[in-house]
Amino acid sequence: MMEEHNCRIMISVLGEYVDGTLGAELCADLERHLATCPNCRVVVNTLRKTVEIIQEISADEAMSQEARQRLFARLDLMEYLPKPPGAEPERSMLHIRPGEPCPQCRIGVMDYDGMLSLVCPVCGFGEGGCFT
Amino acid sequence: MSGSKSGTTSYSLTALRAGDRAEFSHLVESTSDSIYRLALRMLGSPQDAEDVVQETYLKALRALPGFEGRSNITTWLYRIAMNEALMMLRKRKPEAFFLEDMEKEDEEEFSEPYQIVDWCCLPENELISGESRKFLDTAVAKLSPALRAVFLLRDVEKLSIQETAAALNLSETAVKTRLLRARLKLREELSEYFGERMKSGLEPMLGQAG
Ligand SMILES: [Zn+2]
Ligand SMILES: [Zn+2]
Repeated sequence: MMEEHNCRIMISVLGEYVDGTLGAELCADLERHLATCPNCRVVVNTLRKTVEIIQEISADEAMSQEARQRLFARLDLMEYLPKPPGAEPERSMLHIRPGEPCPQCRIGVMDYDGMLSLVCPVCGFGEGGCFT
Repeated sequence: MSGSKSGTTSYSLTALRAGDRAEFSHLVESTSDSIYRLALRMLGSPQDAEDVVQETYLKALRALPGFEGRSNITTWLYRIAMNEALMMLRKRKPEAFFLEDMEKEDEEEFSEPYQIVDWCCLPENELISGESRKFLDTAVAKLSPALRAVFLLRDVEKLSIQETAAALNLSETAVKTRLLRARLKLREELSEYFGERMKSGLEPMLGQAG
C-alpha cells in the first residue's frame, strides 16, 4: 500500500527532521506525509519527547562533593578546589589546633606557616589577615 | 543551552599547554560534571565513573603539551573519557562487544515503529519522577555500547553531529544512523511503558479534564 510504503521511507529522515537539519525538499515531503498520516505524527511527537525527557533527567546529575575532592586531590589541584555551593558554615579558627586535620579538605594537617598563621598546607584553608 | 560549544567558556590553550595549573583547574571544574555523567551512564557504576574521570584528566594533563587544538578542547576531553569508559566496559562486559555486529547493524534497515501511543500529554511529573526515572535510566543502559555512546554525546551532552563523530572517531553518517537507531529504540521502550500508564490512569485523567 502506498501510505505504508511512505511511512517506511520516512523513518530514515526522522532524526534530521527532529533536529531541524533536514534538507528543504525532503522536509516538505515529510510534512506532506505527516499531514495525512496520524501514526507518523505520533512517532515524531514521541520521538521528540523521548529525547527531551532523557535530557531533563540527566541535566542535574553531578559529581558528589566527595568525588570532586578526590579528583582535585588526585590531580594535585587542591588549592583550586572551589567551595561547594550553598551555605558552608564558617569554621571558627578558634577551635582548630596545629596537628589537626584540615576542616575544609580533610587531607592536609593544620600547621603554622612562616607568618605564624595556622593554615592547611594542602588547600590553603586557614587564618587570613591579622590575628589577635 | 550551553550545548556543543560548552557554553561561552573558553580556555587559554597557551596557558594549558604551558602547564598553568589555575587554568587547568578551571577546565576541570567546568567539565568534570559532564564527563562524570557520561562515564556513569556508560558504566552504570559511580565508582567506575569516578575512576574514568580521574584517568581522563590525568591523561589530558600528560597529553596537553602536544594538543594541537584541531578539535575543541572539550570534544577532545570527551574523546579521552569515552575511550577510557569503553576500555573499562570491555573489561567488565566483554560479551557486549562484537565489532562486526555493530558494523552489520549500521547496514540494517531501521525497524518500523511498533508502539503508536501518544503519551506526550502525560503530566510532566508522571514522565520524569520516581519510578519513571528509574525506567528511563534502565532504558538508556540497555542500549548497546555503540548506540549509547552516540546517544549520550549527541543528545545528553549536546555535542554536534560533527563533534560526536570526532569524539568517537566515526563518520558523520555512522553517527546519524546510530543516533536515530538509539532514539527509535528508546522511543519504543518509553511508548510501551507510558502507554501502559496511560491506560491505567485514563479514567482519573478524564475525570480531571472535565
Ligand atoms: Zn506515515
Ligand atoms: Zn586543607
